[in-house]
Amino acid sequence: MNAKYSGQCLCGEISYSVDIEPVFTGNCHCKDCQRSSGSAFIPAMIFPEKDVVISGEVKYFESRADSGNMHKRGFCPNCGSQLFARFSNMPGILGIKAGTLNDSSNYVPKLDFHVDSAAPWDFMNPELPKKQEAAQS
Amino acid sequence: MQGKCLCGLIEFEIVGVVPKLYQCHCSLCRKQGGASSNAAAIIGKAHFRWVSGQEHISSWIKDTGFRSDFCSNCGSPVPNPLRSTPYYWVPAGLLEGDVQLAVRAHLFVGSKASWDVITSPGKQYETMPDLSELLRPDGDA
Repeated sequence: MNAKYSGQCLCGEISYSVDIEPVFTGNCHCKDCQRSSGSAFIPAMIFPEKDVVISGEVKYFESRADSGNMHKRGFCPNCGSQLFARFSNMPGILGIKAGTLNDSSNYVPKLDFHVDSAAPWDFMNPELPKKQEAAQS
Repeated sequence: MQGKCLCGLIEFEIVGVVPKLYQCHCSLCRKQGGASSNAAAIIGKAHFRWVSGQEHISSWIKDTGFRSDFCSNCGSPVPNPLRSTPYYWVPAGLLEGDVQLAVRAHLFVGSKASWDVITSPGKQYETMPDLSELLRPDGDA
């Protein structure tokens, strides 16, 4: 069976698959996403956690977002790939970072958010709607 | 210019140069950060200094030479030596402050993701040029 969305880390220790459509897709430009990716923004796909099948041992690091909510970012402890996110204000929800998709054409962002925090060198797709703060506020 | 990982255990600084940025759009860089591309400065070793936390760095090296160095506590990609060159590859997302940095070149544009719309200036390379071409003409990276 081919799942609609599947991906893995650099070394292959961790893989995932989802067979439903995401409830949200968008690019997060907050400073913590810049730090965790080393780059300009995180292309994020949001799914109900129960629909995501994960293989492998993910390590989570928890930090407090500017909103005050706790944010856990999941990465592979062997190769460092950043794969997942969990949010204290959205229990039962799992974020998947689209850079880890096996088929990169599967991600279609609907929004750029936290654009107030974007780096000066971060140029965005002008055709996407922009939101200064969090996507769900 | 200071930089640190998400948890702050690993800190470094860049001295004496204003970094120019390079964005690599290859599939390996996407998987490393979970992002559209990597964005990094290429900094001569004389201009780079570790401040703290080097003991927390984990490394994964692919047989092709591609290297992922990251903080073992928070997973942030961290600076690493650029193969056998006298340069460090420094992830731009870790840099602090509002210094106006600019992207000088885009690498592996031929491999970019469909959602990755390149609107920033900078020369676009289908793959990776020689480092000497990349750092020309001022060579002060």
